[in-house]
Amino acid sequence: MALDFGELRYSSSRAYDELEDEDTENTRSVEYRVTINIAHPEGETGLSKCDRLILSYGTLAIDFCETLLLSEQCVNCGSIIVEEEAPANSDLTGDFRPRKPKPSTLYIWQNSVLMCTVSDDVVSAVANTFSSKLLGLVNSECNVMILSSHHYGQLQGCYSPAVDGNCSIHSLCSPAFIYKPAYIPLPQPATIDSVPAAVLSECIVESIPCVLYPIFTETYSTGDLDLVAESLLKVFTREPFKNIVSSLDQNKLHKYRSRNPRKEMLDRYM
Amino acid sequence: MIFYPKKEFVQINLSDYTLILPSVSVGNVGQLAVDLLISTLPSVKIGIVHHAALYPLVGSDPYNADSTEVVTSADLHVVREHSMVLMQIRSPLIKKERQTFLKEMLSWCKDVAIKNIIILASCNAFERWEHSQIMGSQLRYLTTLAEDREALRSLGAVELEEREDEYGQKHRFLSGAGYVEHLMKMR
Repeated sequence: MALDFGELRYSSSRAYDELEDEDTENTRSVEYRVTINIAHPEGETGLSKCDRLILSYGTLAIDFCETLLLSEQCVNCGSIIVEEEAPANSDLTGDFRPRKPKPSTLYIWQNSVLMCTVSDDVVSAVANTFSSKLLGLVNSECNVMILSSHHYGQLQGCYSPAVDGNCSIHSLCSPAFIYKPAYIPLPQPATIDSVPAAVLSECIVESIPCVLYPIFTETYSTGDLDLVAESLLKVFTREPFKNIVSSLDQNKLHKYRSRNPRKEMLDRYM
Repeated sequence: MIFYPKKEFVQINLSDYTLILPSVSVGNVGQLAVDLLISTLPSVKIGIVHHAALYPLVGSDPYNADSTEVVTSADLHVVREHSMVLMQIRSPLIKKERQTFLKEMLSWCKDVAIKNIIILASCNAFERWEHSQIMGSQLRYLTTLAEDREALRSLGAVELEEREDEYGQKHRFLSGAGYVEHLMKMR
């Protein structure tokens, strides 16, 4: 609905987007194209042999995986690209320099662990398609672990950081996940949406063992991996993800800090 | 198939049951009413509804603090005593996939022989156009069956009034009521 300057817009429900309900010609329904590029020598067959899948979503969770999880033994084995389909009439957008999509990168570790760092381009509307494509790469017995980072506001007032950490971390599991998660369940009424929710829902439907660890921090800014590193390492002390990473590598953390000076500046103001 | 039953409910018979579901609409009134039905009636969760049209969402069980069960965007509960199926929808529908979802839901209802569908929705209060709507009861109904109309009238329920648009055409105006009109047109 186009509003004139000064016109009052009535606030609608938080769960209901008024624009979604309008069938006007101006409301363009966005369509997405999801493409998987596999760079593994054995193709998709090579990836289907993996018995564990680790998915990271959110800046701090991705930084954790890229900094402390990826080792020399990790190999980039492909990517998933989500692109917005160009509208039939390009005059509507005036987009003369279309941006290059940011891929979600796939890594493989010792031919047994597949890792995926989810790009910001994977929005909620395409999360279901993305998760179906990603889970289609692995077999139904593969254990899935999702690490996601969020602002503590999403906990709806239930923020309770652990004594030894600066973040609050919880868990949600699919019925097929037989192991005891490292953290207590997500308190009510907090909810998780987008890719982590889509992957967990798909795992429930397909009876795939899956555990989701959402991490909540008081800041949106990044550059301080120490906020989550200690807490996240604990999830690797439990089966079936034991021994993927053993201890905190201070060297890697130091390198991470030196690479993110701008972000560290932001932290001081938060 | 949009309904994924739990293992113990794969063979459940829902023949002649009434399906009650919310339309995700202004103020979440339908969803709150379904929450109330699920938490007050002896309901049992029988499975989840999974479809590309639903924005993904997960959380802990809102009806039982001790449960470790995960709730998703939509799930299905049954109240055997009242032959009632309750569908709770916790996220809006993605516009592009909405028609497919509604078609598949109606098709599933036919397959399992659901007798009636009751949609609970809410409309914008600022769009009321008659004195009776502003001052009187705020509850209205719309039905596709003539016999239901008679029964509801005998109970004192008020049918949603028709509104005349700028072209002089009369129609039922459902402002902010979500997919109600789309679903009723598909029957």
